[in-house]
Order: sequence, then structure tokens, then C-alpha cells
Amino acid sequence: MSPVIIVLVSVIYMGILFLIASLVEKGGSFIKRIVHNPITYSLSLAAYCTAWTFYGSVGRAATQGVGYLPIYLGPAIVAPILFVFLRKIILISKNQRITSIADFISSRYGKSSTLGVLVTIIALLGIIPYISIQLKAITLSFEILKSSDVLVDIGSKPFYYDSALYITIALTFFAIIFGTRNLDPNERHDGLVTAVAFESIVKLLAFLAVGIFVTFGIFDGFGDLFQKGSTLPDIERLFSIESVDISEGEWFGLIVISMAAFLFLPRQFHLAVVENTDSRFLSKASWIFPLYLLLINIFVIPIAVGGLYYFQGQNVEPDTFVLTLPLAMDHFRLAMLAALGGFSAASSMVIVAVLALSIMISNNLILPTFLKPRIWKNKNQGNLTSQLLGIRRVAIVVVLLLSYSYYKMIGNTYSLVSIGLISFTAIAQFVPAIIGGIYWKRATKSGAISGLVIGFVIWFITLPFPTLVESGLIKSNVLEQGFFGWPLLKPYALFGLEGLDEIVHSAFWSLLLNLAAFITVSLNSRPSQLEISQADLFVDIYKYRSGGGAEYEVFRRKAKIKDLELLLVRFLGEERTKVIMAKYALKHQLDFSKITTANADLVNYAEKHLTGAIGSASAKVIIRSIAKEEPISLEEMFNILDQTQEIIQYSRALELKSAELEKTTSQLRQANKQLKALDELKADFITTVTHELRTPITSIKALSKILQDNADLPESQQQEFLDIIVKESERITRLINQVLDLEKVQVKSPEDNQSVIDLASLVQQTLDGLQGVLEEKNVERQISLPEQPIWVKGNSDQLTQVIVNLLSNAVKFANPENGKLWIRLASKAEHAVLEIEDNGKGIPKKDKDLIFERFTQLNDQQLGKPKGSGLGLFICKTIIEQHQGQIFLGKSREKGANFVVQLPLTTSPFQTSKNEKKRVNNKNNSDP
Amino acid sequence: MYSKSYFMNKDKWQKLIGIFALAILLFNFPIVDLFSGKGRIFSMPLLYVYIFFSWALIILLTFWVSKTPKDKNQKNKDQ
Repeated sequence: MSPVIIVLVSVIYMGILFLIASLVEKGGSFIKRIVHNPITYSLSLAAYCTAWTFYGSVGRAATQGVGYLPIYLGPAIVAPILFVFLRKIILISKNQRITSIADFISSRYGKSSTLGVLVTIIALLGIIPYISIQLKAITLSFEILKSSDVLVDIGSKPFYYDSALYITIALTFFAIIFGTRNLDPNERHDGLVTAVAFESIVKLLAFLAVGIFVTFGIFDGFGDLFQKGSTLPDIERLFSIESVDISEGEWFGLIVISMAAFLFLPRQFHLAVVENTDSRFLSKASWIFPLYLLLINIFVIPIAVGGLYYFQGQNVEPDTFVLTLPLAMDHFRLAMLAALGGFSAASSMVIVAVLALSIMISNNLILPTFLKPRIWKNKNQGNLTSQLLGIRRVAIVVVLLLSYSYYKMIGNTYSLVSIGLISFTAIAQFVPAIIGGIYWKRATKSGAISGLVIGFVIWFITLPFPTLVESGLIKSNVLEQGFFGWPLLKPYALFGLEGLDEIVHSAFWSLLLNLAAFITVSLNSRPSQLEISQADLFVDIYKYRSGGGAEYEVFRRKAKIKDLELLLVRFLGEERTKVIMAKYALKHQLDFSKITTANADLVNYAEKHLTGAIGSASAKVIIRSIAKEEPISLEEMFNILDQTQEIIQYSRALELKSAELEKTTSQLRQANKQLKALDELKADFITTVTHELRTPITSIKALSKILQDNADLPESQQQEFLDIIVKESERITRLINQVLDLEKVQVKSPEDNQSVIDLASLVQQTLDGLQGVLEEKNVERQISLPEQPIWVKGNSDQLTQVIVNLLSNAVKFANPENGKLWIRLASKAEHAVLEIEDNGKGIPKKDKDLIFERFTQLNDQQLGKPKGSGLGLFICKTIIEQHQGQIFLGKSREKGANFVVQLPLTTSPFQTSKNEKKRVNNKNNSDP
Repeated sequence: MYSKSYFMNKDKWQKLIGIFALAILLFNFPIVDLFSGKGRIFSMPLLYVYIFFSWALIILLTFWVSKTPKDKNQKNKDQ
């Protein structure tokens, strides 16, 4: 076939595509309705089927049988959940104005430009081999058509003779026209999408035509084809899984990476997410797209079987069966149609892929990395739109040139499918960061970066690197020896894992370690504020769908409206800026002529629109150059803190108050208890006292009555009765006196009327005072008083009373026959010790403590009725205790009781002051 | 807060996830391996017939589930 015809047909075909695209872009509402349609959308997704599908599937089926299928089963499996999964990504992307997969990942992790760069580089390196095989496929088809020879060799030609170069140039031109005609803030290219959808129809029809021709033209239907094929062992073995040697792991691994590729290849992401106009299209796409895949795959095996059967022993490359079968049967037009189908498959892929890559390169690589934000403030710069488009055009040229070089170096060594799978594995590295990003809030930027870097490095050393070595570009014995000579680091048997297909081997290790690093680092790193708010927006997109406004923004930003407008004009053009600003003004009822400062909401609004044009990371940087970005001003922060502080303080005060109240309550309770106890004591006391009073009154009353009634009683008897009455009266008086004393003692606080007293002289004075009583009782006294004064602090009246009480007790209880008294006073250590002992019956041990209680009277058979009130010792004890002293029973020399009084010593008043001494002396003198 | 369509969506989602799970099951080992071998249907290899038929089944199921009356309303809304 003449190359002129081929080129002419190709150019006409390109012209048709271009016509469709421009019609759509200019078109009215009718055309828009055709374009914004689930069917067009589903067909555009079919850009997944590239030249690899068109030519390579048959090639792979011819050697691996059913092994070509997992790459299509992956998307077919994931299709039912497009409405669940992809819809979420679309909603997030629309909400955040995301325009590429790099933007998506960088946006999720706090608009990190590092991640944007990383994803762009991985995508770029991953896709270049993929684009290169498209070049190879088109070149191959062109050469086959031109020579009409089924055995062409396209390897050895000088470059100016190389059709691949011209094809690359043509595709570059085509991609630039389609992709970079204007800068749309949403990166929507309706014309391009429609052209891609149209190409999908062309490649499907072409492939079906060849399939039908082979099945029903060359053979007599499927039955005949398979029956004839079964006769050859080389073909028969393709009909079972075992004989083509595909392991479970390989099968599953290919399904997984093809799922990832279908969703996250930059061009798939671009078509499915960025170009999507209505997320509800997914509902239909979830069955239309797999149906398309099914149709384009039905004839793969028949063509492979037919080719193998027809070209027995001819060594025809199975990758070319789609073309060579019609050619061999002299159906040139069909061959031309097939070539056109292959061309549409390849061109749609290349154009969208380089467009998506150029967006990523300009927005995520060039803008944030090489251009300083202050350039955008420079007023000499005009409209930046053309500059941005320029960057993209250069990016397209560079990407295609790189792909061409890769094709020239590697392309002929490997089959279409194996090179394509290298790309798939690279793209699969995005899976943890994306899935984690939209379902796991805890995922952090550091986690995503670590996962991607590790996954990418392992992918690189296990897949592209060995291809460079094998094709002789790099001289190394790494393949046999492993990196650094470690056998564990052999590229095809990493960590000793052998026996797997190299793609699955690489996918296994890279994805495993990628995921492990992603999770581990995420859990061990802290996300920034921006990351947290972005994570929230991504994971809970359904919650934020309608709003997604500034209330979720952590940063409050302000900028001059003029600056903002200037910026928008540079990137979006004057017209669009006007529309955008007018929309905002209308929505929020603002008049921009009156306001000079844009609030945070407007800044965010502008940023979102800029994001559409230049990507989120770049938009963030540029907005930052004009906007005062305050991570919430210090004052506001303090206000918030103050409020919190106040609340905390208030609650603390409350806590204190309630603790105090509790304390008071418990004190009150205690006091109440004491009062009650005292009350009881008082009641007891009164009962006892009245009882004590009643006994003598009863006897007085009885005796008086007798005296009154019996005037004739003998005088002696009358006298006796009167004596008793007098004694009982005295007893009553004594009792009442003592009760009064007790009351006095208890009421008085111990400090009242205290002074420094010489205890020795006090004892002497008391003894002198009691001289009469002692004489009367005829008691022998042994008194030992020190010559030096013994100083104690106290109330001399009260202390005198104690001594009197003790002495009168001693006299009372001393042996009536030969009564003896011992009175000793000495100072021991820090105490003055006064002992008053008698030689009476003594006090039984069991009553030792009891005697100091009130109203304790020792009932002694021999002594008969006690002579005391039972209050004397109690009063003594109370007084001594008020003087910080002690009173107790000491050891006695005979049987009698020995009362010991201990009082703390004090310093001599003469050492302190003379006045005091005088006063003490006076006091002492005045005492009775 | 949640509209009626929210629950319809939830319902639909669960069915779609069910189909997704079924597809994983049908297209993977060990089920796929059951059909590998010498079996033929109208001289076509059983393996291919099985895969393409299950594929068609999954598409059909997805079609039924996603074709809810709600779609009609949406279409009207869109236009």
C-alpha cells in the first residue's frame, strides 16, 4: 500500500477528530447535551483500551491464553462500585477544584507541594514507557501497511527515515492543538472528550470488524475456529490455566494493579474525574464501560487462535495479528480500518496522557518549584495565561520526546503488554495514599510521602532498572549478584522471593512496603492544622458537599480586593475574572467598589478558582504572596484562650467554694455533735446534782418533821437530830458551792487571771490556812517544801482550791486512829511535782481512772456513806488540765492514796522584770 | 438531615458493593480454576465461556441495580 494513501487517510481521520472537537467547543445547547451525557462519558473512559489492547492483547493471548484477561477483569470488577467509590473522589475534586491526580494527593495532605512534585515525577516516569509503546504500535502498523509484508523489521533505520519520529511529531502537534488551546480553570475540554469518545467507537468497530472477519470469514464461526485450533497443541494449551503457567498470585496481582491503573492513571483520572460534568453519570458508566470492555475482548482469543493457526510456522509476531490476518487475506481496506482503529486507540491515549501530565508538570512541578511567588506581583508581567500554556506546550514536547527516546532504546526488546504493565505497577503506588486519603482521617503527609517514596524506589529497582540493564544501556551484574553484591537485593528476586512473574513480584514488594510505610509513619506523625481540615473535607465529603466554605478553613486570610483581581486576571483572563467576581458579589450581596479588603471567604473563593487553573499547591503559594495569612491572629487566639481560661477559673472557684462548704458543713456537724454530747452531759449532770441534793433534803425534811410532830422527844435525841440537820445543810451548801465552782472553772478560759506564782509559798499558805482543821483531826503531817521558790504560771485561787481539795480529801480518808499525811513539793526536770499522800485505805486499782470523773464516790462498806459531793477531784482535774498539768495517782509508801500534781515550770519573774515580780508578790500577799 | 434519596443511595450502594464482591469471587481463583481444562461447550473452551458469561452477568446485575426510578427524576432535573 502506498504510504501516501496511509498518511492521507490518517490526516483525514485527524481532521475529522479536530472538526468534532471544535464543533463541540463552539456548539450550542444541543451539542452540549450530546457531550454531557453518560454514554459519551463511558466511552471516554474507554481510553483505557489503548494500542496495547488493540494489538497487545492478541499478542499476549497467543502466548498466555486467558492470561491477557486480568487486565480487563480488574476494571470490570471495580465498575459496579464506581458509583460508590469514584463518586466520592469526583465530589471531593469538584469541591476542591482539583485538576490532576497529583493535585488530589497533594491537596488531601495539606496542599503539600512536596507530594505534588513526588506524584508528578512518579507519574511521569511511570507513563513514559506506556506512551512509548503507543508510538511503537503506531509505527509498527504503519510499516506493516506500507510494505504489506507480515514480517517487517522496524528496528534498524536512520532516524530521518524513521516513521516513529514523524508519528511522534504528529502526535505532539495534535496534543498541543487539542489540549492547550485555551486555559480553562476547570481543565474541562469538552471537545477533546468527545473526540476521545469518538475514537473509542472507531477502535471498537475496527476490532469487531477484524474479529468478525477472522471468526466468520476465515473460519466458520467460533465452533469451527476452536475446533481447528484444538488440533494444534500450541493452541490447545491456551484453553486452560495450568498449561499457560499463570499462578494464583499472578492472576490476582494483575487484577489489582489493573484496577488501580483504571482509576488512577493520570489520563483515566483526568477523563473520569476532571472532565466529569455530573457525578451521576457514574451510575450508567458502571455498566456501559464494562460492556465496552467485554465487547472489545470477545474476539481477542479468536483472532489469536486464528492467527496462530493460519500463520503456523511463519514466525509472525502475534502482536500484529489484527493487521496481518486481513493483509494475508488481501483485505486491504479492512487492514486500513484496523490500522485506523489502532491509531485511534494509541492517539486517544497519548493525547489525554500528555495533557494530564502537562497539567501536572506545570501546576505541580514547575510553578511551585521554580517560580518564586513574588514574580506574580511584578506588574510588568502581562497576562500569565499564555505563559502557562507555553509551559504546558513545552511539557508536552518533552514528555513525547522522552517517550520516543525510551521507545528507541527499549521498545524493541519487550512486548507491548510487559512494558504497559511496568506503568501500571508505578501507578498502583498511588493506591494507599488515595484510598487512605479518602477513608482514613489519620493518614498524614509524612505517611503518604514515605509510602510513595519506598514504593517508587522498589518499583524502580525491580522493573525499569532491569529493563535498562537487559537492553544493554547500563552495564551491570546487579541482576545476577544483587545490589551491593547482596543476593537478597536481586531485582527479580527481592528478599529471596523467587518464582513470581516480575510484574507481580515488583507489585507485591512495592505495594506491601508502600502500604506498611504509609500506615506506620502516619500513625507516628502528627498532621498539621491544614492537613486535619483537608482530611476532614476529604473523608467526610458528603457532610460538606453543599458548603465546603470558609467555616472549615483553619486559616483566616485577608487580601486587598485589587490584588486579588489582578491575580485572577493574570491567570484566568479579564473576562472570566469579571464573571467570577460578579458571581461572588451577587451571591453575597456585596459591592466591590465600596470594599477594599477581601475577607477569608473571598480569598478562599479566589484560591479555588486559581486552583482550577494552576493546581492547589501553586494557588496556595500565589495567594499567600498577596494575602496576609494569619493562622488565626494572636489576639483572637488569646481571646479564645482567655474565654477558656475564665471558664476554667470559674469552675475552679466553684470547686473551691464547694470544698469549703463541705468543710464548714462537716465542722458544723462536728459542733452539733459536740453540742449534743454537751447537752447530754448537762442533762446527766443536772439529774445527778438534783439526785445528790435530794438525799440530804429528804433526811432534813424527815428529821424536821419528826421534831415538829414530836415536841416531847428527849433533848438528847432532839440535839442529835438537829446535828444531823445542820450537817446535811452543810452538805447541801458544799454541793452547791462546788457546782458553782465547777461552773466557774469550766466557764473561765485558762488564760484569765494567770500570773507567775511561787508554788512552794502557795502550798505553805494553804497549809497555814487549814491549820485549824488539821489540828482538829489530829493528823500527823510530814511536810517537805523546797527552800527555793518553784515558779509556775497559773491562777492562784484555782490552784489553792486544788490544794485545799486534795488536803481535805487526805484528811478525810486518812487512817482515823493514827492519821498521817505526807506533803512533798519538788521540781523535777521541767515540772513542779506536788504529792499529797495519806495513810488511809487507798484507792482500788479498778477505780484509778474513775475517781477523777464527776460524781464518782467510792462506796466503801467500812467507810459507809461517802462524805463528798463527788465533784472535788473532777474540779481538781479540770483546773490542773487548764494549767497544762496532770493529776494522777502515784505510788504510795503505805496503803493510802497518793495524789500527784504536775505543773509545768516557768521562768522566774525576777529575771524578766522587777515590776512583774512586785506585782506577783503583791498578788501573793493579797491572797487569802 | 438525611433525605429519602440518602437511604435509597445507601441501599443501592450496598447492592453495588455486593456485586463488586461477587465479581471478585467469580473472577478469581479458585472459582476460575474450576472451569479450566478440557471442557468444551459447542467446541468452545469452557474457561472462556465461563468468564464471558459471568462478565455479562455482572454487567446485567449492575444495570438492574443502577437503573432505579430515581434515575428518571435525575434526568429530568439535568435537562
